[in-house]
Amino acid sequence: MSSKRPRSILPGFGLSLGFTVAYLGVIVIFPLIMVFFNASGLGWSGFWQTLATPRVLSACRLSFGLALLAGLLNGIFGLMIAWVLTRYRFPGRRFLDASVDLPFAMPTAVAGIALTALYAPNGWLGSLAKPYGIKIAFAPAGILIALVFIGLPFVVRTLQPVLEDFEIAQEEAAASLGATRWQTFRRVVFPQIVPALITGTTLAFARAVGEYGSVVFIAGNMPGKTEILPLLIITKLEQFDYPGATALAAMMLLISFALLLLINFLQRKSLGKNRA
Amino acid sequence: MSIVLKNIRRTFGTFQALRGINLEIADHQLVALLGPSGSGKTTLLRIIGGLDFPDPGNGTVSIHSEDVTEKPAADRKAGFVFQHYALFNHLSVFENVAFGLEVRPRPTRPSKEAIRDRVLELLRLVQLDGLEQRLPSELSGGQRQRVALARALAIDPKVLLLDEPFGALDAKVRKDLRRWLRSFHQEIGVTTVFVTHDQQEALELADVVVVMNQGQIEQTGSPQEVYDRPATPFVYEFLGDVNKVRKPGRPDLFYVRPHEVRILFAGDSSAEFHAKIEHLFAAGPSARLSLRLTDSRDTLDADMTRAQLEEMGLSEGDEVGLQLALTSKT
Repeated sequence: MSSKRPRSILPGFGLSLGFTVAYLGVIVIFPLIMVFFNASGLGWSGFWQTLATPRVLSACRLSFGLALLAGLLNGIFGLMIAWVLTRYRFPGRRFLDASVDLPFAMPTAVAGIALTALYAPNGWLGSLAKPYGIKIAFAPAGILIALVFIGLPFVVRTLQPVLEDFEIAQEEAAASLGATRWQTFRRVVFPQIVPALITGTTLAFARAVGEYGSVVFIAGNMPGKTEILPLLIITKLEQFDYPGATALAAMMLLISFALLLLINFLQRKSLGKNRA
Repeated sequence: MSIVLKNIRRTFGTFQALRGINLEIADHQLVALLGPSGSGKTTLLRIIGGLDFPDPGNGTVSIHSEDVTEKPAADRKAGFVFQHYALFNHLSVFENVAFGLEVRPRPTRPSKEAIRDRVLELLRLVQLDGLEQRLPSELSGGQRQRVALARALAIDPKVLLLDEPFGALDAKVRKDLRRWLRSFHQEIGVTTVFVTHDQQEALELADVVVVMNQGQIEQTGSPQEVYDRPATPFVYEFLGDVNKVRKPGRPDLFYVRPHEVRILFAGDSSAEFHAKIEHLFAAGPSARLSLRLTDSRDTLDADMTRAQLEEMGLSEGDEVGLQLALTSKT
């Protein structure tokens, strides 16, 4: 029987596949299925009734809209930071490099409190914006800042190794062929780091969608205005509305899953172009 | 003159990579920069191409009588071929070759059709027609090298610079490509400078060999000149096999190449030295003998034809007499 299978020089395929499936099942897939299982207690009509309220829909728009925006901003500025950290040698570089990880290491509530103190109308930065009528904390802008803060490391850390391994000779080749610095970046470097950039941006986005701790302090949490989906779920839990909370969670999962599939598809397409 | 280098110095920290290089390269020549690793040959090539620069105020580079010392690579029109090809991995063969034309500013950029014709013509020239849609990762080493060459030629370079062009290829491909490059150069006639550490490659391929050592030029000349009349002990030792021999009672060293050793019968009265055959290696058209001199106990290699060897009937352990065309180099 087993002799009919094409022989592989690496043993243990069956064992490792079995382990992978079991592990992912227990850790990731099974808990997610439970969400849908619990939510299904509501039935379709109950499900829709829970979701199709102005409060939920506006929280949904806010959460996904700001998470996408935060992911994009992190994509742009994360790329710049990764570029500077890998390409230039300057005093304090190692310190800056280490500080990129801080949003990972800090408890999110601490980050939230620090950001709120900074951007509140009487905070250092908030008071600078106040005379212009700009409100940062307790407004969507504040949520965006918190989401950018916690997502930044994903982009920087996925791009750094790719930029470090990039063959400098390719850039020199482009220069010797007459390309300007910008043409070299746009036509030679950028297309080859796009897959990593998409990965990092996606991770930052996914993290931002589910972020709770750092956002609740700075958001102000006004229903319909600055209330995010994870907070709404917590609110429902605190009211012992478990089916309602899981219905929200199931919706978040479905939307996130659809978006991740889409991004994966885009990445596959960009990778397909650089099959190398 | 195609390329003129004057008094070029380049230091990296405390390491002096180039210590005052002066070199003139005539039009249409195929020139080899030959030297061991660390001799500065690649640094020199990069300085010609504008990928590196002399220490400020220390040296000038001219290409086609124009001082380009301060010009960046993009403005020099020097086609550069890298040791590991440096092809753009995400672009097809066609797009790689077209790159230099497509990045030109709009007024001087050829039309799409003109670019297409030029690229296909170049790919025919390097014998890669039909592969234009492949990605670099789908090509062999030799094919990649030729794509890199076509890409460099697409910009109509004033000079062509090749960094260890055959370094990453296996022996057979190396040899084929070497022969091909020789005739290719005759066909296109662009002044070409290539870097190599392989003396045979330099001697076989180049019109002019520039032997470099420790950031300086030891000798410049035709392959025959540098091989037959080495200017310094370094050149003598670096180009081809060489024996170092001491004469009895004299402190200085003499150099003699294996094929310059004349083997005589032990009893021959014209023999200057006597030696014993320690090892005899006779595969191929010529035989190599490892000899130990009776007087000084120095070892010595000698070449002779198989016919000669059989005529004299020599075998390992035999005593022979030697005549050496000794050149003093110390």
